[in-house]
Amino acid sequence: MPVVTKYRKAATRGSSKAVVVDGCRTAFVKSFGVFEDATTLDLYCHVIDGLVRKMGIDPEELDEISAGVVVPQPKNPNVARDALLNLNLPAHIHGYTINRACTSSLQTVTDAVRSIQTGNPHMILAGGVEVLSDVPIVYSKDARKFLVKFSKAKSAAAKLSMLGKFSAKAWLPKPPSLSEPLTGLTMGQHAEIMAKKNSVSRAAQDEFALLSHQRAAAAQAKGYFDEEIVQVWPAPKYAKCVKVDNVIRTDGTIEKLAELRPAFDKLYGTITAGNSSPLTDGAAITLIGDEDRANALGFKPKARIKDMCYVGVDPRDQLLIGPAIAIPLLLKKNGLTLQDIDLFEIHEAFAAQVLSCLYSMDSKTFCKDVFGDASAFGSIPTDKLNVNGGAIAIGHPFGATGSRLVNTLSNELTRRNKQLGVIAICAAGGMAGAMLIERI
Amino acid sequence: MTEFFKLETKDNIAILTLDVKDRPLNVLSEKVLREFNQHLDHLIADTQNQGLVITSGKKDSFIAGADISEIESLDTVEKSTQGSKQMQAFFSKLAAFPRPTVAAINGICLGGGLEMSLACTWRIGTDNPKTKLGLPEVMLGLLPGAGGTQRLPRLVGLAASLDLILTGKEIPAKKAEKIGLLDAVVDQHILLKEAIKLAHKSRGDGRRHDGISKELPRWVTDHNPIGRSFVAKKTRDMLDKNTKGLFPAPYKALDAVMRGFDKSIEEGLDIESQLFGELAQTKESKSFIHLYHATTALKKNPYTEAGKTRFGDTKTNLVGIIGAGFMGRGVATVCAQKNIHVRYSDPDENTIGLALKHTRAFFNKLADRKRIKRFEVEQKMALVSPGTNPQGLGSCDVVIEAVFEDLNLKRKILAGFENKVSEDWIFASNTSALPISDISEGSPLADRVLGMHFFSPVEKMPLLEIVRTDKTAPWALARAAELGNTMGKKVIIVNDGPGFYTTRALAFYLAEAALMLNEGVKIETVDKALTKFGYPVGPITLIDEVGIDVGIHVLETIHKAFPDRMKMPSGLEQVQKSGRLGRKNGKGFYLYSEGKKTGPDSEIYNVAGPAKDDFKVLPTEEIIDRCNLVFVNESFRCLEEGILASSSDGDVGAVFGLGFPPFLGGPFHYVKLLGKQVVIERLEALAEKYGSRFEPCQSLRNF
Repeated sequence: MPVVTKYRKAATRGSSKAVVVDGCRTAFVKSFGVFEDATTLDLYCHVIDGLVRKMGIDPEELDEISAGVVVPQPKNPNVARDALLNLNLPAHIHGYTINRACTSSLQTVTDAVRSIQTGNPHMILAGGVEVLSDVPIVYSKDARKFLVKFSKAKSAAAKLSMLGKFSAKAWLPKPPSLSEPLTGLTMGQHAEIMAKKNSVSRAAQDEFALLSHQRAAAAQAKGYFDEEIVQVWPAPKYAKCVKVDNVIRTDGTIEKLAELRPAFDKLYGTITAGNSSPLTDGAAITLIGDEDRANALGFKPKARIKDMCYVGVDPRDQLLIGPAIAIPLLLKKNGLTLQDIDLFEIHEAFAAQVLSCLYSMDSKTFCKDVFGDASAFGSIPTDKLNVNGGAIAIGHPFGATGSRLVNTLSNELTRRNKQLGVIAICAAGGMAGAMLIERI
Repeated sequence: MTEFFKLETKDNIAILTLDVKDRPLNVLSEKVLREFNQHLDHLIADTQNQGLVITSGKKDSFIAGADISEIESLDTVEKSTQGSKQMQAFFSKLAAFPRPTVAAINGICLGGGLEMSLACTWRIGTDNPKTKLGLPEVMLGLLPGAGGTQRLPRLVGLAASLDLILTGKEIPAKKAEKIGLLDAVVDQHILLKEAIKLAHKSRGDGRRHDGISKELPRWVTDHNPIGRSFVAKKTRDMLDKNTKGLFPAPYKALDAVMRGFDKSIEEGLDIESQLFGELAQTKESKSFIHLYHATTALKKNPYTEAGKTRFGDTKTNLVGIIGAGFMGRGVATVCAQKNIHVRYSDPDENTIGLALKHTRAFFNKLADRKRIKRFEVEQKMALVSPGTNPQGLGSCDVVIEAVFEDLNLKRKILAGFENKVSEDWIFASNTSALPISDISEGSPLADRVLGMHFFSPVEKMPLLEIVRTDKTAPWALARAAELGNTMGKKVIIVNDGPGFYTTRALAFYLAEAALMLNEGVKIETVDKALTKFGYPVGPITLIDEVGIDVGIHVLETIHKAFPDRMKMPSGLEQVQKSGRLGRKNGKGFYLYSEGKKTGPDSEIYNVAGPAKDDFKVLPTEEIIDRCNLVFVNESFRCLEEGILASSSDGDVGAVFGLGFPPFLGGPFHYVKLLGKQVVIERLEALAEKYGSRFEPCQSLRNF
């Protein structure tokens, strides 16, 4: 067994090249289903343990862990470090947890890459987790203020007098809301705005959703996802092994999709539960490493992470249009065109949102307005886009999606023996991130 | 005069620090006590000091107790009584110290160490998890003979003191503070500072005032004769139930407490030393002390050096378990309990789910009993990594297979790891009967293959029998033994052979019991004889426990190996074929209802054995001798053939793995107690009547 001086790596310089060494995820499942008793801590422990076990890596060789979580659970605000300690893994592996909405685990991967690019010869676990079956429900501001003050009150008389002043209404818990703080609209309402602005038809959305399911089902049947998924026996009953994504439908038809009622705009809307991503529980993780070190440890890295690009837009206009800006910026910076890219993974929050982004990149007006370009950036052919389905079919545990896409795309580039791939993800707050990766 | 104690003065308080240099723990030998006595004389006379603090120079341990080999060397009741009186005198002098005295306790404080502390004015402990207080003397068949049975009840009351004295249990500092044994519990870094503060305070009337809610029940039970006789009766009933009257020590300890409680301390101490002297000369005490030495000797196995050279101080941290059945999940649970990571591989998802459930139930129960914190259940469970394939097992430190007893399956599993493992990787089989060399034969990994024979239920049974083949590398044995020790097991290392030691000796014992059924002796008659002898359960009940199918497999394996000597009982197949598998399917030689034994199944006599009204009566002594002496004789054969490295390993194996009565010290010690000649004569008589298996073997004759 090698003698590892835990901190020795901090004093040496690495190759500055960041690679995707390996990755895994839990099955992505509908919320309020098989993972409803799970916590973010549970699921994150499962992917860490699953990856360490699958790779056979000595945990002493790991340096850092990060997690992206959009709806954190109050008990484990820093779920990355908490999970590491809960697993009794070496304490020198420090960790943090971030929130960049749906790009959270694209961000954790990004941070890992940047750390390695500055010369840290590290092995970093970067991922994310979401358990939407269990979101924190909070009391109103008045109730919270009261509780704190009440607990600080010195005498019984003071407490009694406080009780008299308190209204019962304040005790109603505030239901969790996913609306945008700036606009007060939900994500779905924003997607409706985009569909209307870009004339994305209901039929086009339903077709896109159906294709997502068909492609995901095919990939599932071929066992592509089995390579990524770690088996989970959910505590505390351990009744059943969860190892298959359960959102994917094999029996969907365009007729069935057409029957669904619009979810956000009952009268004029086109967005339905069928052409949107569902509430999902799951976790994913990616091991990002220094290329030389990964090789020295005997691993075969899958892909190099070349570059990434994050953008922000005004949420009041098109909240989820960011990918249409981030992808062109990323490719231009690297001297690449759409034709140079073999595979695209554009996150499917809503079919309407993906189609709006595709439409905009191919729109002269949009590209002139945004980039000042004379011509449109171009179109992405269907056979290069989301070839194994997307979040509409596979599901979207907010914090985990970025890491899943990094894993999936690395694996697919390897399978197809192709070179370059691009990931783009839109996020709440009018943001997006894109990443360029290259098969090794 | 300062060989063992260092004397300093701080803030006008004398500080005596005990550090017995040539031992890992502080032990109160006669020499140490004499030096202590001299210090006391000097400090009593020296009125410069305003108080005395006694503490330890050892890390994480205060005083482990008296010197057991000195107790052993006293060979008459009078000498033992005198030894006790002498130690009492030292502590009485401490108790009469003219200024306040403080025991400053960090780490284990047991037996004589606690009795010394009890003689101090104050006791202060630390919240270090290693700090444990207890009076383990009954576990050696003795009683606390240096004031423990007198001072403890006077300090904490009858109920709390009997709980400690009669069970020998060790309690953490917080609990000790709660019952009034410790006056304060502090962080270890400020122990001395706080002890010095205490040494400046006198105690007043010497009692702790707990308030009416705690004092009142004590008045009811302790301070009137009716209450006391009630406590004595209740306790005696409990002892009868728990020990079946087989162990004299707790009864005498109870006597010492009850008889001395309402008398002066001097009278109490006299009673205590007298009863101590009597106990020290019992066969039970000598057996327990023998087992104590035998267990201590296990820690020095001949492979330790090879392990140190290869692994240094790194310990096994990751264990792979193939097969999540009854044994596999037990091993996994104990590993997780000791903070070792576990990776399961079992092709059946359902079995894995049940295994995880089993482990969680175990830790939930520990949390219910407040042995661990509720949140620690999650941490323990996180150590167990389930999976339906052996992925990741090649990078484990040790892989233990616990699949069913199929040689080809085990060989196939081993072959699956070829070329996929590091050079430090070890493969252990949990087989109870298959020769390990049959599993490793022809394998390029043969030097890393060994047996780790755990006993069921793994969480409870203290023995681990490690089996070495002639190919097993010493470092691999060292690694396996280290893992066993971490798991809290008593580890014996035996040589390979059919049934190794334990299964082989047990097979002869069980076969003999079954043969008696064949002859027409009743099921319950056989079982009762052996439980009377001191086994926790009788042999027929044991067959039901391990499963009739498993029992047959074991007997057949051993019979195949020793066909000349072992007589195979008949009718067992018919019993199995009649749908009886033992406790696991609620039907065996006994009937079970909702997991509880309801009584012997009288139908069984129609399935196997002679007709109902043809029962045969054998004297209890003969039933005992047949089962027990065939076991003893086979144990000696195992020693003769080198399966056992020593007779003391055999004693440990029999007592902690098979339930051989501990107060007889194991089959080898039993021969010493009974006298070799008696054993040989009885065996020869049995051989004449029943066959060659009773023929006393050579090593027994030479013993």
